[in-house]
Amino acid sequence: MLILRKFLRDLPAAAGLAIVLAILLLALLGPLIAPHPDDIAAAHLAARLRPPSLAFPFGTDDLGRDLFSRIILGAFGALEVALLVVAAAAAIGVPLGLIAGYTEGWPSELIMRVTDVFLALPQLVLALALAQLMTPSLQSAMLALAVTYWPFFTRIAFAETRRLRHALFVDALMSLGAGHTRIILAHILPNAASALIVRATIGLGFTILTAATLGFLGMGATPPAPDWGLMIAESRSYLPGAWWFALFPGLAILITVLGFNLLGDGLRDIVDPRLRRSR
Amino acid sequence: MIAFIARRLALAVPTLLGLLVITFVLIRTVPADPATALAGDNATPAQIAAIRHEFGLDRPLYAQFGRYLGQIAELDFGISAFSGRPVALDIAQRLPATLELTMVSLLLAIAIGVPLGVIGAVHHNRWPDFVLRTASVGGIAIATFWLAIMLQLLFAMELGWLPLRGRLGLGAVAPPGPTGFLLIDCLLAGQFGVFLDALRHLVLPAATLSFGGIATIARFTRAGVLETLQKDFVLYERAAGFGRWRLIWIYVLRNSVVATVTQIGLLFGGLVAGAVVVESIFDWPGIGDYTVQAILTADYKVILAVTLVVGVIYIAVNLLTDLVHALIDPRLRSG
Amino acid sequence: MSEAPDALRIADLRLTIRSDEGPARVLDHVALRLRRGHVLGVVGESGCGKSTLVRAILGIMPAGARIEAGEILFEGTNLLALDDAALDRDIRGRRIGFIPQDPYLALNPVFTVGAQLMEIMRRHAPRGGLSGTALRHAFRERLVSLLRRVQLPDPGAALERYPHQFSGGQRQRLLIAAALACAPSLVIADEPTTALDVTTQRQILDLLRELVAELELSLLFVTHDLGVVAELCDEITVIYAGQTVESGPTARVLAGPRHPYTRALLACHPERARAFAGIPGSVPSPLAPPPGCRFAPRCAEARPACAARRPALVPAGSGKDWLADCILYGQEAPLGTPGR
Repeated sequence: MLILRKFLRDLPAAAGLAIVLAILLLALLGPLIAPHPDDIAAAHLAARLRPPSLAFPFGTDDLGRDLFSRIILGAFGALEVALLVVAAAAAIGVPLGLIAGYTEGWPSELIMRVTDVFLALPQLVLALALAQLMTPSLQSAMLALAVTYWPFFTRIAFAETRRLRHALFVDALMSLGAGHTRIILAHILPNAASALIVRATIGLGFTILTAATLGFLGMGATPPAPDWGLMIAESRSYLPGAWWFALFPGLAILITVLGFNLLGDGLRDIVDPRLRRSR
Repeated sequence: MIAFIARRLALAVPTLLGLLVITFVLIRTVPADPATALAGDNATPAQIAAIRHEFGLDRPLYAQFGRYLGQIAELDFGISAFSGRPVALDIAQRLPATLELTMVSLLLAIAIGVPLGVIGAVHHNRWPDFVLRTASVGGIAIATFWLAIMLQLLFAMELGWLPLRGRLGLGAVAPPGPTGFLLIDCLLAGQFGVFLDALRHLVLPAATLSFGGIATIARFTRAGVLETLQKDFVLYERAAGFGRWRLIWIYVLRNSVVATVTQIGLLFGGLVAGAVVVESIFDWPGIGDYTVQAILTADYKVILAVTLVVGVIYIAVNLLTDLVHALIDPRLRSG
Repeated sequence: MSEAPDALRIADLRLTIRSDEGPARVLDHVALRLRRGHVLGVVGESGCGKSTLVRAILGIMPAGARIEAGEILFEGTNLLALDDAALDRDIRGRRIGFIPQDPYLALNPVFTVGAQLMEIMRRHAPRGGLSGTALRHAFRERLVSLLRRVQLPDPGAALERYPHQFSGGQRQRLLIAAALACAPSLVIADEPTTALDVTTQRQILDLLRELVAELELSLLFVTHDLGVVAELCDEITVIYAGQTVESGPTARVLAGPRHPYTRALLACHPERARAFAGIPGSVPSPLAPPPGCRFAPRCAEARPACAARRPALVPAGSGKDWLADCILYGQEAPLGTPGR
């Protein structure tokens, strides 16, 4: 309770939490909230490219679909991709980091060298290359993003495990006869969890951004999916006239990513003051 | 100092090797049939077989890797399917455009980000700081491609102040110049008209690309300066009568920028990657634009070559960052 | 013949620091007097406000600190009336030199020692009509001779080195040289030997003594170590919980202290105490200080009137220089007595 209250006193972090919860709500209840839920696919060519009005708060797109509704409906896809990617990246990266941190000698070195190499590569370019090599689709984009994001988890898991392994309580546990696996899973992992959760939260925002970029480049969702990046790509031919078509999906991305970033920062500040960057 | 440089260079070699291994693995294992992938979409079976033999895909894996390394050493990246020219040549021609764009963006990010960070730290918890912190967090949340389009919308389409796309206007001819950097070449050749034209075309792309960088650098500088301001030597320097201005901008700043320098290193790499999107939107003739075209035409050789080049740039920049670290903080030189 | 103004004279200084838990009344009616060419020891336990006092004199107080009342006269000029720019330009580093407590933390780690010392010279040292390269040379010469004077080996090379390449004692010497760079008339030393080992302490103290005599400096020496005060200081001022409790000639005060706190302090001193003794109770927090005399709750000779007593230094011994802030001395009656 004390933690919650402290968290809420931090205005930006509270705002971040509010945004993330709102997005979550939109994602889950999208079809119920959106005024024109059919506009996931239906087209009303008579109403194409209408500017914002009471009936269509964000205007309509090139197929006459309500932009407001499509943006709401797009939240689900964005979150789904982000969660799957981050989960996959963590599933790969965290165990590797735990092993690298806990052991010494060449297995640990090898893992960290490989991690360094992956970190030395630009994520977007690598993801693009991968996605293309695997036949462009939403699935290959997600796989590509996961494969390029795991090093971030490994690095944190490694640092935390290294730090904790030399802590007294681990020596005590070992002298009590606890097995290595048990020590890692039951004792080290819970302590490292907070740093990993912070990284995951920020990773969600970052993934939404990168996924939107891939969507923009045509490497992600395909029409008629209400993908925010894809919408912006579709809007380009109609500029400068239909400015709303490009503006609002971008704002949606901005606010969502902002929310996750603020939340991640806030979590970092309360969960582990050692990681605190002066705010 | 020399020993430090030599040590760092030696550490870079395994990373380079790893990069080569990964790109090799990518092209050999990811597509179902590498030969088909390398041949392109419209290849005939005969062409595919020829490629298979040419690339030694019928030989054992380690021999293939050796061959691959040999090709890289000779800068032989193959022929691009859509341009019909050697990939190495294409890249060599386009690289200066990308480097010019990213370097200008980086300089912009530093020139604006560092002072903003210092101001935020010095006015800690007052309104300039709050504005800065909000802008910083917002700045890294903006999608680069969206920002590019918005800036185009406002400044090129609506206001007409700046050109919409390209590196030079129609009819302007780039001087043959030694560097490939238009700004430098124009100045060297004395062609100020073309210089101004190139500069005007540079504004929007560089502004877009540097935006996130400004936010990141401001954030880290602010954190670094705040931390330094708590230190005892700052109090001492005040007591010894160091003037406020010099105290902050010289004596405090130098202590605060180690983290910022690390970020600048990472940032440059990120800028090269971000250039992919920016170049595509602004029709900037660099390797980012090249990459996007290659993706659309499924030209794997190009994609791979670009990945390699960008990876090498990353490694080089990280090396440079470490060197600058040692330059700034003498305590790091012995360690 | 008019007497030259004292190097430093502080009267009735009251300073409060705003904190999350409320106002902390860190300094309450502090008074001290440092005569020209003398060495004054300011003694007190940790947390009694000595360092805040030093910072107040130099005008570099922490955020949220406010001077409520009082004056700080430096050679006749009230420092509290000067703004920060004036203090920076004329006083700090030029007419008042400062020797900090921790030589390991005081120097900027990423600049050479020479660069930092040069900064002081460039800002404050008289130019003597020179400029450009000639001026730089002149400054460098002065720095080298200063470093030699503080017995730093190989002064020329030392200027090109970084702080982390020197030992603690050497760094303290550098800081002494820095304090003297522009020939100040007053030097404030804030516990300059606390962070050093005993042998080095000895050397630094000897050095300080020589320099004070040779350069005719006035030295304000802040410390918690009575032994050092006995050796170095002409006069002593004792501070407890932000209040001045006693001040007078060192030898006489230490031989027969008048204020109960000073007596208790001396009684605890390892060289005097026969058994391991302390003073019962603990130092009050500046957030909730006792009314009147702040030592009263722990004083063996306290009376009810002590809690109502307004701080005032009154003569406590032979000569008008020996003052104590205690109800036991002087004719002053506490507030509340009819007729006063």
